[in-house]
Amino acid sequence: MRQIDKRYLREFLPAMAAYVIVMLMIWPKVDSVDIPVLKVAAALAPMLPLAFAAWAFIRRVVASDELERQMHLMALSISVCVVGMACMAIGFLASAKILSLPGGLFTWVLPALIGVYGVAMWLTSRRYGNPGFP
Amino acid sequence: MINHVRELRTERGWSQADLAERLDVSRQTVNAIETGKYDPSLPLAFKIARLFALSIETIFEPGD
Repeated sequence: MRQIDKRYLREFLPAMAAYVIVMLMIWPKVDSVDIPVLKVAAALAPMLPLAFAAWAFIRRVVASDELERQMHLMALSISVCVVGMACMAIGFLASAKILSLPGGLFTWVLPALIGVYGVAMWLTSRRYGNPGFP
Repeated sequence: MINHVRELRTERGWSQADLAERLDVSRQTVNAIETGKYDPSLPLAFKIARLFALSIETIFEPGD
């Protein structure tokens, strides 16, 4: 494994572990907090480990070689277009009062971006004949 | 573009991973260059040429 991949895992995995811990330990207590400032802090607590994970991802992309950057660009473009279009469609349906959106819907935007990015990256890798991918 | 990277690499007994490490790129990038699925940038082509102590046009030839 390349050094940049080792560094990425070293930075990304602890951030995601912290995110899981926050979601299990702090997030369930948000409803029981009465002080407004603490309530906001508890509600936004998952953002801190997510920010570290995002920073690790950005560092990985910046450290990529030229082909990897091209693949990241293609995968991110596909991901942004697919998820962006889906968000617009849902938004139009909600504006027309055909759909009523639950409050937590926005929390699915990032996982959707990551999911579509992962599939697009896999497809792009196949295009360039990645021997490490099925 | 046609290139002779695979022949030059195997002549030296290097694996794709060895070459990737010497060029500071991923093994996938070396594989994509060797199979003609990706044409390297000019800076990377110069790096490859320097590594094999050859000119760029000896390693890379225009395709049809």
